[in-house]
Amino acid sequence: MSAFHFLRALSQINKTTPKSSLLLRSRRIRHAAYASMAYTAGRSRLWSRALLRRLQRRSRLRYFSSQRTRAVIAPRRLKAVRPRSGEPSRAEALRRLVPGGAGMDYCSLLDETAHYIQCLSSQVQLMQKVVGSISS
Amino acid sequence: MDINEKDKFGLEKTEDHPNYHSLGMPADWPIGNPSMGLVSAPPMGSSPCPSVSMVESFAPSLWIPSTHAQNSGFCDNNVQSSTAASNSLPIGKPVPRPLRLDMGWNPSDSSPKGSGIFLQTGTGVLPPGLSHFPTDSAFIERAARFSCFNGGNLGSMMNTFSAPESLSPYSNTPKGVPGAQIQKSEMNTTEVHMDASLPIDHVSSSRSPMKEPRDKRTSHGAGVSSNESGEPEFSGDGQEEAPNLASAAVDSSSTGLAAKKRKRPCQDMESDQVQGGGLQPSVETAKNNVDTKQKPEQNSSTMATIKSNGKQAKDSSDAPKEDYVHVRARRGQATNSHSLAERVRREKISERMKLLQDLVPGCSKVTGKAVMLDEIINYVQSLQRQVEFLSMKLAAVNPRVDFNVEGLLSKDLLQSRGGPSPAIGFSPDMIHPQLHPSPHGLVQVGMSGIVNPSDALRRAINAQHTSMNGYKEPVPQIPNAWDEELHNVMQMNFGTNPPLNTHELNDKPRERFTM
Repeated sequence: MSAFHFLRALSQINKTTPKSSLLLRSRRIRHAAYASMAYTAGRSRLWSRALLRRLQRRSRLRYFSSQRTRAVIAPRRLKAVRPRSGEPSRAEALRRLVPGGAGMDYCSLLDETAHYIQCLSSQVQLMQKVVGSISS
Repeated sequence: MDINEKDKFGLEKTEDHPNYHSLGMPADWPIGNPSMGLVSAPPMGSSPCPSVSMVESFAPSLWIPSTHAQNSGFCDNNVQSSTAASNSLPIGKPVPRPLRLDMGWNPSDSSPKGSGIFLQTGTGVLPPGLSHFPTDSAFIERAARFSCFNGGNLGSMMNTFSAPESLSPYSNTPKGVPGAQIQKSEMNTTEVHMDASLPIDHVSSSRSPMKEPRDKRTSHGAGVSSNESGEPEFSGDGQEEAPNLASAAVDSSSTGLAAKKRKRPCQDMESDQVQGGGLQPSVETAKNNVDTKQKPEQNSSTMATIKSNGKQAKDSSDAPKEDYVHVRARRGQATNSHSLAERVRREKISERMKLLQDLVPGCSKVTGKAVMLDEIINYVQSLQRQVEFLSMKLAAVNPRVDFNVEGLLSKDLLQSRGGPSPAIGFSPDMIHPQLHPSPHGLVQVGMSGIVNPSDALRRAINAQHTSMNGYKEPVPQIPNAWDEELHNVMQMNFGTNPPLNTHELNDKPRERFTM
């Protein structure tokens, strides 16, 4: 499912911006990878919802962005994740990594992390296969 | 009511089951209500209080059995007041009030039988599990016994509960409250399986009400005999109960504690009281939900057992209604609801950590949560870096290969999983045209570059499907909302490009033909 979406997005990127810079295209491909991953995961997962929200916000800003807004959104303002009680201190880093992690309690954070890892690894495998198939 | 809201809020905190509060509350309410109805049903005409108030007033009423005689005088007052303002009535009353409150129900009974009435009517009204609810004589005895224990603890209980309540003038009289209140609280614990929210209203009003929530929380059911053991437990719970009152822990722990206590009776209370014997079957059923053996802590053991007897019936009837897991304290572990909830939470966390350990490669040897957490963080970071790197690589490689057909193929592969032949049949058609920018040329060129990759793609897609399915995540049917959302996301990424259609791919392959 996510392979389909990802490849579709890839072909779209290829079609639309064959001449744009490598950086721009790589960012778009990364955006497409995360989007297809989150889309495939569905609405039932916290991280997929948060990830889609983040992607929409960023792409909307980028789409409508002028020079000024681009300068504004470029420096990413990290909202401080306050250390919570009853969980290890490293949980903060995990919250930053997993999309939507700041709002979860530790138990569901672990749950979401597990699912996120699974989707991420499958997405990485897919991309590796695509690259392998293309370059072969 | 504020108290009720707090309880509900606390219930929501349960980690175990988010539906705790939704289940616990409703589940508890009916239970409380029947018991309320027990008192009020016969006499209810006099005080048509709403269920909440009824429950609240009922709670104190349970305490009364021993002090029934004195309360008879109060009853009349209560009846009038109860009829007047049901809601505010139970809460606002001073310490002696609770006696009145429940007496208020009694007058409707038309006889100050006190505990006997409660018990008997309750028996009729209580859920089936409690049908064998103990009768009053033993109950009264236990209430008397129970009162001795509560004196020291009630004060602390009161203080904790009075904090949120503005109505509690009695917070400063921890020990002053007569044993009657202790008895009352005991009664409450044994009889009423109510949500913590229910007694909260009473808490401020008197010590016994304060004890009540705890009692109710910890021991549902009729284990009067467990009064003594219950008291120290209650006191211990009192402190934490205020903040945790509504917590899910209440429900789970109460159920758990109740289950815990119920188990005790089975083990210890065989010979104890009549109630224990009657409740044994319910204990057994309740035990099924729980898997722990508990070690009584100090006096709580006997108390718990007795109480659990009463509560078992209720809990066993509750068990089918509630989804959450009944937890029991294990042997040698603390048995208050707070630590029970903590234990449940810890177990959940360790279970999730084990899952993660399986997911993250090379973590089977790692022991300890801290190191494991570091490994997980490193793995997630490495995966994200890999995505970035691969996207760069794809961007670099992309111009060389036409992805249109790949997308098309993948779509065909995905859609016709049961029928690979159409996809295969499609390919030869694509290959057919010549190698020039004609509608089919694009496809053919793409195909030539993809003949090998198509298998790789198929494999990749299948692998991905299996890996996804391995996680038991159902392959979602693409809802329209999601489809639109994805389109939005993708379109925003690509600017003003129209949504990609496979039809477009087929019909207009001549666009942007790239070699």
